[in-house]
Formats: sequence, C-alpha cells, structure tokens
Amino acid sequence: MAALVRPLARRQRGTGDVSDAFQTVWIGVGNGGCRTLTALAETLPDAPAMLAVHARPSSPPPPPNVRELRLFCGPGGVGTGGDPEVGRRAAIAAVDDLRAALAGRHMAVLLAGLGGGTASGAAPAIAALAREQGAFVLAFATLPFFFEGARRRQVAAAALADLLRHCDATVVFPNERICEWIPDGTPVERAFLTVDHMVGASLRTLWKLFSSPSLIHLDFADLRDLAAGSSAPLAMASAEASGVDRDRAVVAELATSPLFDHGALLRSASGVLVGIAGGPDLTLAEVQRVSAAVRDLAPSGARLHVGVTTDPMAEGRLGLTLLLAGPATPAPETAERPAQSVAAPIRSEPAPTGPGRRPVQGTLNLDAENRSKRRFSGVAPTIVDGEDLDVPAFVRRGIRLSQPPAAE
Amino acid sequence: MADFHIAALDIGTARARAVIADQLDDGSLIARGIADVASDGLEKSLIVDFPVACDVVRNAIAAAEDDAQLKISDVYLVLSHPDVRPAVQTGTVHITNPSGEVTEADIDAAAEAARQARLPPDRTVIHSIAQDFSVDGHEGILDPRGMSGNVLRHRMLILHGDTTALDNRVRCAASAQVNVLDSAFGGLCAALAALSPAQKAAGAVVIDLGAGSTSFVVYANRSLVHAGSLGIGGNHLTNDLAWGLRLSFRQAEQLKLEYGSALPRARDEHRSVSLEADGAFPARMVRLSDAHAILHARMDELLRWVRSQVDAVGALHRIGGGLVLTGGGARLDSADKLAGRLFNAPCVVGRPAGIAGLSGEAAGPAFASVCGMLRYAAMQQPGPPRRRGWRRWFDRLLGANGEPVT
Ligand SMILES: Nc1nc2c(ncn2[C@@H]2O[C@H](COP(=O)(O)OP(=O)(O)OP(=O)(O)O)[C@@H](O)[C@H]2O)c(=O)[nH]1
Ligand SMILES: Nc1ncnc2c1ncn2[C@@H]1O[C@H](COP(=O)(O)OP(=O)(O)OP(=O)(O)O)[C@@H](O)[C@H]1O
Ligand SMILES: [Mg+2]
Ligand SMILES: [Mg+2]
Repeated sequence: MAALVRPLARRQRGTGDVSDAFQTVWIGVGNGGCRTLTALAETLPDAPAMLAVHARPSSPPPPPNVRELRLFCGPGGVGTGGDPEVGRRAAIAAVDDLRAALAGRHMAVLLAGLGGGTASGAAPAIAALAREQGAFVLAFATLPFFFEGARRRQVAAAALADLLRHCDATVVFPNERICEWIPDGTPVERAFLTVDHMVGASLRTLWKLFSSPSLIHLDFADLRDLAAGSSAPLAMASAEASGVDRDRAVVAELATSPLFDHGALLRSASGVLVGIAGGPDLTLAEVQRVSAAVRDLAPSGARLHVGVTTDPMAEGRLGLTLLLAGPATPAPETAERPAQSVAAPIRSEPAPTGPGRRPVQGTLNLDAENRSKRRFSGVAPTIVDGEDLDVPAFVRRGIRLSQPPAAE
Repeated sequence: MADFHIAALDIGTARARAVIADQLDDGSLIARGIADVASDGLEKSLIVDFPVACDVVRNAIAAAEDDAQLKISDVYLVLSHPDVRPAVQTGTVHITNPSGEVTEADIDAAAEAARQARLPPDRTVIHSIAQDFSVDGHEGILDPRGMSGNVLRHRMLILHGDTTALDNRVRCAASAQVNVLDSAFGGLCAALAALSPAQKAAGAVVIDLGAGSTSFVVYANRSLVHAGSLGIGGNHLTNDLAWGLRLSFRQAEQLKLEYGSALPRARDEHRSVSLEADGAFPARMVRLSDAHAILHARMDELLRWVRSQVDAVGALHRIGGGLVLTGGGARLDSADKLAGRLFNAPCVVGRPAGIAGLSGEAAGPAFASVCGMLRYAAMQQPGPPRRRGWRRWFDRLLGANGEPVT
C-alpha cells in the first residue's frame, strides 16, 4: 500500500496561496439530479455551494442552501419534452448564469439522471463550461431503469458518451443494478428514492475522503489518474459493517456487488480507489487487511489509491468505498486536457475530444466492450458460440488501426 | 385494366418498404405504388418501440397508397427476424392402402405428422418445407406416389422464430388498419425475387444483408434445405466504424456508404477522407485503410458464420448456382468479391426479378425481400388468393415435392 500523506488538494489547484480555499460547486441537473442534490443537501450541512438546474421545478423544492437555476426551453419555456437537444440549447441560453456559478471553482460535481431531456442535454454542456472555467469536473450519472424503455436508454447512452468526453471523471450508476437489492413490488417512487440515497451516499463518502482531515489523504489527482486509465466510466459502490469480522464483511459485499457487475468489473479494473472510513477504533491491521484483500481481487497490474479517514462519530463501524476504472486502454496517451476552448459545444461546434485523450482501440476488455456495443443495448446481445458479436469484430480480432484519427 | 392488386410490406430496421402491384390475368405483376421510408423503433430487426414502429408502418403504407392512387385493405408481411432457426422433423405413417401403394393421403398424413413441431412455446413455426421421403428405409425419394411399401417417412424443414417478436411484427403491421393475409421469412422472400430457376436447380445460397439482421437460405437438390438468421447487420458495420474511429453513428454511416469497402483497396492505402462535424463530434480526417480494415473484419466474420451454416448441412460444395447477396448491405463495395472468395463460388448482387415497373432504388438489392413477398403472394394463384390450404400447397411447391418455384 502506498501509504502517502499527500499534499492537500487545495494547494495543488489553487493559485499557490495556501489560504486560497478550495472552491467546489455541486450541481444537480434535471429533475433526477436535483432530487439527488436535495437529498444530499438535507444531510450534509457543511456541503459546498449547491445549484439545482432544471427546466421545470421539481417537488420537493430544494432546501434554502441550494440555489436554483431555471432553464427556459423553447417558445413555451416549460420542459424539454424529453429532447436532449432542447436541454442543451436551454443550457447554452443560460450560459451567463452558469459561468457565474462556476467562476473560480476548482471543482464541479455534476449530478444527473440521464435519459430525460434536461440532464442528458444540459449536463454535458455544463461540464464543458466548467472545464472551460478551469475546474476539475466530476460527474455522477444514473442510467435509466429497464422499464423506462428503449428511447430513454438510447438518450442516456448518448449523453453518457458526451459526459465522458467533457468530464475528468464520470461515475455511472445503472439504476437497474442499484435496484437489484430492492425487493419486488417496490413502488417506482421508492425505487428512485433508493437511487437518490445511493448516489447521495456515494458522493458524501467521496467528499469525506477528499475533504476531511484524514490519515491517508486522497485528492483529485488520484481521481484523474484513475479515470485516465480507461475510456470507460467509473463504477462506484460502498459497504459498511460493524463487529469482529467487519473488514472481511465489507470486502465480501463489494466483491460481489451488482454495481460492479457482480465482481467482474473489480476483476478487470485498471485502477481502484479504496476509501476506508472508520471510527477512532479503526486499526492499522484492518486497513492493511482491507487493502490487501482488494489488491488480491483486482488484476495484478491495477493501480491502487488508498485513502483512510476517521470520524469520532463512527465508533464501531467500518466503511469501504471502491471506485473502479475499467480495464486499461492500451498505450494511454497523456491525460492532458485539450488546449482547445471548451466553450465549443456551447456554441454547438465540434466538441473538444482532445486528440488521443481517450484511446479506444486495442485488446478486448469488458468495459470498452460495453461501450462499444452501446447502440445495441436495447436488445439482447447476439451471442454465437459464447462470443458476443455486438462487440466490434476488429476489436475481437485484435486488429490494430494505423492511428487514432486526429481532430481536424 | 388490372383486375386485382396485392400489397407487400417489409418493416426493416433501417427502412420500411411497401409495394402495391397490379396482378394481371396471366398472373404477372406490375408495380403500381412504391414506398421506401426511414424506419425507427427497431433494433436488430426487433421492434423495441412499438408505437414508433407503428408510425413507420403507417407512413410506409400511406406513401405506397399515395403513389398507387388507391387504398389497400390487405398486406402480405415480410418477417425479418434475427433468430430464425431450422429444425428438420420427420413424420412417419404406415401405408394403409391395401395394395401397398403410397397415396396422396399418406403423403398428407406424413407431412402433418412432421409438422407437429416439437418446439418450446416461445417458438413459432414460420414455414414447414417438404424435403424428401423414404419408403421402407429407401431414402432420398422426391416423389413417392405410386411406390409401394409399408412405412412412409417424410422429412420436413421447419423454420421457427420467437413467438412474441413475430406476433408483435404482425400486430404492428395490422395497426395500420390492414389485414395481414400472410407472412413469410425475409430470407425466403429475397430468394424468391432474386434467384433464377437455373440457380435454384444448381444449388445456391441467398444472403440478405439488412441493417439489423442477416438472413440466408440454401437451395440444394432443387429444394430449400436450410435457412436461418442472425442479429448482425449493417448497423454493426456502422457501429464498428463509429467506435473504432470515434465518429458519430451518422458520420460512420456516411463513411460506410460513400467510401466503404469489404476488402482493402490498394489505391486507398494512403488515402484519407474528411467527414463533416456532427453535433458534438468534430470534423475528422479518416484513413480509408482503417475503415476498410474495420469493415472487412465484420463482413468476413458475418459471411464466415453463414458459410459455417451452409457447411453444417453439407451444402458447401453443392452450390453450383453460386451466391446471391441482397439487402442494403449487398451494396457495400466488394462485399460480393469477399463472399465469392469465402465460398469459392460465383457471387452476384441480387435484384428483384419478375415484377415490372421497378426502377431506381426499387430495382436494387434492398427491395428483394418485399418484391419476393409479392411473388410469394401471387404464386398462390393468379387472381384473388385462395385462403384455405394454400400454405401447404405452397410449401410443397418450394420443396422437393413440386416444381421448384420460379
Ligand atoms: N435518482 C433519481 N432519478 C430519477 C428521478 N426521477 C427520474 N429519475 C431518472 O432520471 C432520468 C431523467 O429524468 P428527469 O431527471 O426527470 O429528466 P430531466 O433531465 O429533468 O429531463 P426532462 O424532464 O425530460 O426535461 C430518468 O430516466 C430516471 O432514470 C428521481 O426522483 N431520482
Ligand atoms: N452503398 C452501401 N454500402 C454499404 N452499406 C449500405 C449501402 N447502402 C445501404 N447500406 C446498408 O444497408 C442497410 C440497410 O439495408 P436494408 O434496407 O436491407 O435493411 P432493413 O431491411 O432496413 O433492415 P433489417 O431487414 O435488417 O431489419 C443499412 O445498414 C445501410 O447502411
Ligand atoms: Mg424533468
Ligand atoms: Mg430487411
């Protein structure tokens, strides 16, 4: 375990002045994203600045510590009709307000339920804007439930691709997976609440790991490092246990988590961010056992970033959060940001994909596969002799292309 | 002028097509209304968004009606399906005639027994096609009438597909206020339109390369001996390009249509082409050698799958009539060349034959299935179709028991 005490994030990103406080803004986009934000705001009194961006007010209204930005869509002004293009345009129309909210922020965290018109269109545009303003951009995105239908799935898949392009790190939560542990017969409303809490809890945990005084600190250089290792979105799950075997219990739970494709994602991860949270009773042996267990589950080449925090209130409990990067994409180029102005998509111009920023070709790997066959996600995979033929043939055949095409 | 008209509908993943044809007294067909509209709501030849697909059907029928200047109340429906599978079943009967001679009734009884498909409930029989007979163990008999013996066995090729998907397709067509008179497997329809009698007699393979799925049928010994489909099609070619070259689906489709090739081209080895920006996807220069490598990998794999299917029934060396490619995917440059090499047989791009008045797109390979459907319908009888019992009669036509369909 690389037990390093890292310099605090704020010193890395700031102007160099130690007193330059680390500025963050959390932005809920669309009704789903705003609900998640609301759920968070209520439980995290010392949360950073929060902004709810929507095309139509949602109920319940966000608490007073959340600012609201209403997007105006089309001639009627209300709602996107589920069209992401409308959502994107509405965000562009609000570019001044958005810039103001993002000004001076070192980090922007976007919360978005992909599949509708607002979040799917506006979130990638806001991400691009935030980057233009120099912020590190982290997105938490949910993918629709299966029952929501093919159209929403397609919209969400396209939006996710856009988000991946504009964010430094994108964490996805497929709703369907979250709900694998919700009992049958759960009302839809409750299912969404579960998602809100799940996503909220993940962000809260991450926030604690990154911001609170910790024994072993993590910062978003770790996060960026993690995300740069793979072209796929990140997956995240947490577990908590108490009692004698608590270290084994949390590892066992995450090793088979539906959010990690029942463990498959962990076994193929190119990198793992391990967040361990305990009370004053947390022992070094436990920290070591947990990180060793995670290292054993991940492929041998995977990079581990370990962070440990303790909280006097968490006596007796052990929390484990894992953030996984998909399988490595070969010959990753620098995770450098594109030099181009990120305002481009706001003007509906070519998006900054950054030459070679997320290389996609190469050996077969699980997450790349999933992304590559996104188009066919609404129907059963075409399997012949155990091989998933939706995955591009040239990928399965290991054909190397001469070069990743450069933007003109 | 025309006494009678028939209409056929093909709801594809990329395009929906409808053709209304006049049928003259002599049975010949003249296209009178043609529609070729963009499709939506399907993926891999399966309806994934029912209301949207119903809109598409309405558009297609309305467009054909406008073109033909008449309203239709009935259609014949092409069944495209990504998972058509064959099963050979045998019906056995004891020859009852005291003289020991095989009669028409014995043949019918054996056929009926063979047709009692032992399929799981989620599978529906699309066609049952007569193969051959055996009398007291003597195999390979094409017409046993008048032969004598004790036991008659009749082999039939059953083509089956997913019950729900096929039901949905029929319901979707019917949602446009038309009766679906009958339906037939898209691969078979393509063969009916694009295969010459001589090819059929010599043995041939027809491969319909759609956007969502690929269907094939194999003729050997003058009868249809094998058929099937797979949920891989032109959209996979496009998706592979989009993924590999980081293009939008639209950019990739444009690249495929304008510059695609199933084989690498020497003259393009160092050539790059530019693609315009599409939304969030920037304009790009793309190397054709990369695009062709991607397309070749997919087409090669797909055609090899068909070849393995043909080989599985031992027909690979019995296709003297060669290969015919239909569907929009047949227009990919060098697809025929690649297929010809893989099967070591002559390969052509098939066009619908036997229907007058087709031109432009409608005379191309993508119209084979909908035109074949018309011929299927017309073959039932010149003039108004006889509804009862014709399917069996027709299947016998297709099979060894009757004249090969022309
Ligand atoms: N976590 C959570 N997700 C939700 C909730 N409601 C909807 N979603 C998810 O978010 C996706 C997008 O829905 P909305 O957030 O309502 O859509 P929007 O972004 O506001 O866009 P439009 O309403 O179409 O303009 C849906 O497909 C759901 O998967 C919710 O209350 N909580
Ligand atoms: N010139 C061309 N080169 C390559 N591909 C082509 C060309 N023209 C059409 N296609 C492809 O053919 C496909 C459409 O074929 P077709 O119209 O037969 O499919 P469909 O009937 O709509 O779909 P399916 O039957 O699979 O449900 C598309 O994938 C399209 O890209
Ligand atoms: Mg909404
Ligand atoms: Mg078709």
